[in-house]
Amino acid sequence: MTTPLLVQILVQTLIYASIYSLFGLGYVLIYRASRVFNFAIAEMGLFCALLFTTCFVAFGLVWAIVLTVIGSLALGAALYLGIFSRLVGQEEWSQMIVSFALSIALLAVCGLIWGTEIRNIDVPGEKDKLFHIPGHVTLTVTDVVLIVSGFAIWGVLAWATTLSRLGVYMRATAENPLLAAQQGLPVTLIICTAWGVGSLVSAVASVSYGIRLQVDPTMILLGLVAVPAALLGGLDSVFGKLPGAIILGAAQATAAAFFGAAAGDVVAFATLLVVLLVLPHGLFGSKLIRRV
Amino acid sequence: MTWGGADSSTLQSVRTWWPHAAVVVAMLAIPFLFDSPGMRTFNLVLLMGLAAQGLNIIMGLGGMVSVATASLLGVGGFLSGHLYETMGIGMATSVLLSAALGMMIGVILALPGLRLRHLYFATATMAMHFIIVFFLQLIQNGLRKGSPFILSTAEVGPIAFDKPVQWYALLCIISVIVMVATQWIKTAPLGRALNAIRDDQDAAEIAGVNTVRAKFIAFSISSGIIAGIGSIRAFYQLTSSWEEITLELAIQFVAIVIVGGMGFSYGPILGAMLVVGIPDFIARGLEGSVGPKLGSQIFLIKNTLFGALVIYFMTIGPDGVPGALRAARKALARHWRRLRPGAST
Amino acid sequence: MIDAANTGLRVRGLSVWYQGVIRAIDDVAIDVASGSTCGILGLNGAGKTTLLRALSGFLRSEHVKVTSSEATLNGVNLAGLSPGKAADLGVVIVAERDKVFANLTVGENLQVASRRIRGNKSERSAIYAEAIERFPILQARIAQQAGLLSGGERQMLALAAAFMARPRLLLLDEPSLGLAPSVLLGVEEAIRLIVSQGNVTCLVADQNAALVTSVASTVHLLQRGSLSAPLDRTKLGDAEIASTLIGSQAGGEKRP
Repeated sequence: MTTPLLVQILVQTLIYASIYSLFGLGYVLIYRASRVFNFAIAEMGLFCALLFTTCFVAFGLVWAIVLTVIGSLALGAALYLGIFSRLVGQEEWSQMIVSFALSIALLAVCGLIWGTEIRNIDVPGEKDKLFHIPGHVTLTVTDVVLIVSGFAIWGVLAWATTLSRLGVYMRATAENPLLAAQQGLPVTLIICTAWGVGSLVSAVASVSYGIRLQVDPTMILLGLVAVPAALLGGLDSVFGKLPGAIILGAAQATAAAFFGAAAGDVVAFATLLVVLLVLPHGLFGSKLIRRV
Repeated sequence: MTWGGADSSTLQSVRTWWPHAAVVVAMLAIPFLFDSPGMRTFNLVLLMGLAAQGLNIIMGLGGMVSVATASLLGVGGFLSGHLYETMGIGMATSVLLSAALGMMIGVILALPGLRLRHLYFATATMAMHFIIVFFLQLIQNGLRKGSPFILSTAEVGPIAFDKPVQWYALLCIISVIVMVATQWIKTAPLGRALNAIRDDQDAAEIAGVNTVRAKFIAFSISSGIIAGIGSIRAFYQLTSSWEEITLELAIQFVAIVIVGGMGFSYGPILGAMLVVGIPDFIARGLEGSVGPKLGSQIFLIKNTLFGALVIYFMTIGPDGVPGALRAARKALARHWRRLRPGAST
Repeated sequence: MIDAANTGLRVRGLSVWYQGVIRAIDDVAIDVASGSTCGILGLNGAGKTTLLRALSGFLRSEHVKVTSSEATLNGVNLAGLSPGKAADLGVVIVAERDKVFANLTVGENLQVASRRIRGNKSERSAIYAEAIERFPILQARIAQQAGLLSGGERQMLALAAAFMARPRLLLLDEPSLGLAPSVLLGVEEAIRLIVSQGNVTCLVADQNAALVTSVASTVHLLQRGSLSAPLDRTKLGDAEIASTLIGSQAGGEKRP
């Protein structure tokens, strides 16, 4: 393998990994809080990315960031309060179906509100080349900022939702909402926080992708390919998301480098299939306890 | 109608088969009540319902959620398209061959099913979806240089199926056959094994149910039916392409099964009518009045309606519409009992 | 003038319905003075858990109906509240199952419990320190996952959490369940400790007559959702109370 190719794979892996770890965190948080595997996360991210685009054009970068952060938190909380809080007690798969249906409706709503054409977010510094290997890899300042901040945001939020005081409260609520309520924890607020942060991370991942490339409906594929990454790391493990994202990103980047982008997606799913057959709960997952 | 009075045996037998009779009457009446566009909606409903019926066998009876349905449809469609173009094979034979291929793939699908449960199994089927679609794309690019398979009007014997009404009749007949078959499976040992698996797989295995065999058989039958329907669908649409095999489509089938009531024989048709038929009707209505201006918006509106309807029905209850109706009936019966004088609480 | 702040628990006509059809608690009346402990003896299915849950709140999703002509703690209504609102009033329940967060460590469990401590920062750390001191078993296990503790240790953790919360109403559901007699002494001591904090009304529901008669001043019998009048401790010895409990099973249909 030639060095440029290796570098290309490495860079691509980092790019994928930063996005997948963010989506993965979203999946885990929402799953732990509500026992819902929220397949609509990708579409929620698209919604926020489109929101960002509109705000960016209208109000500039800073306001776009502020409004999108608020918007994503609100979106997550609203979806929980409006839909999933009414499904409490139903079996996991039925809630999964609702999230599937939501994903379809949300994608359509995005199309109705914003149309389906491709949009670009032209951020200052986007064209400043930092690193260039002809025919393989080009890294701009923006790219590096996005990748680094992606990992950084992931790290901060992962800590906040697991090890911090808030994280302890969130884990307690996720494990046993009744006991948490009896001990005086504001259960609804905590679950809304989990949904809000889940929405926020997918917004970050989607906006990041949108800035680097473009914003259009096919972007939801990212969130879907992130599913194997999330499961690979173990569904209820927050910190397993990072290794899961890296492994999957590496597999996908390698396949894409040799066989093209479509092959990359398939390899991602095939990798998951293989891992699941060997380790049915992912690399770091604990056995799922079915609550009766 | 008497409540709790002495029932004669004729009254009892009427009670059991009058719903079926009502459905048959409705089915016969529809062609006379609706014109061509309306018939096309019903045909779509029947086709989707039939594929969902196949899914119902593993999902409704066995509780195993699978999103591989669309890819199996594609497999059946592709095989039929290819056989038609290269050897001119007609619909009747094509369906059987597609079903056979489907059954073989079903055996492969069963393998992850032996080891994985619930969410992980569903994700494994999602992986299968993407893998199969990838190969379909390769095949279409290789054999047809990327353009879809084209089929011409299906002919069964002397009858050429070129009117919606004819398709409607054919699909109704097939629906009845599949529904009866499903009902038969439900009462057969396979059905009971699947039920046990759905309730508690570990307990079933301890009780001596051969879950491995049940899963293999169930997946084969289910995938065979779906692939066969895929073949019919290709002949109905006169085309088959990998681009129509979307994850959205696969999800629609899952939603149909659940909204209609998992395991309920009429469930898939009911679900299809509610979450596919209604949006389609509305869309056609809008198309008619607002005209071609809406264009691609129709598709988006349909999807929004689909999603909203599924979410709505699911918030009523996880047993779909039949479950909600049953719960409503029970609530009514309780009220009735309390109102009657001398009733004990 | 009656000081409403410390009138204790007063219940009249409390009934609990599941799914609108099953009456799990039937017209219960009870009085427990503040600072005292009342015992409820009942076998499996008698309705102990339901009675205590009725006073500590049900989550929104359960199909439960609670009716009463009166159910107050220190003058404030208790019936039909959510668990959160009941917790705000100072109701602390130590449940029969799931009494601690199994996936959290002992320290994290205490962290959650300490959120309820009222007062400023120094008061809170004082109470926290006192809890660790009174329940030394926890100090040794502070970093261990609560799910890996023994039954007795888990019970002590739950009681330590209750201690920190300074409850107004302490509800204990089968605290003796699955515990060895030697451990039970520690449990009894912990219960007395919490009640001794002052202004605590305590209700203990259990099958273990020895534990109940040891900590409680008044004892009732709960049978198929119906509560008896207080048993006359002057006439009945503790052993006789125990056999009354066993006898209460005779001629009774099992509750679903």
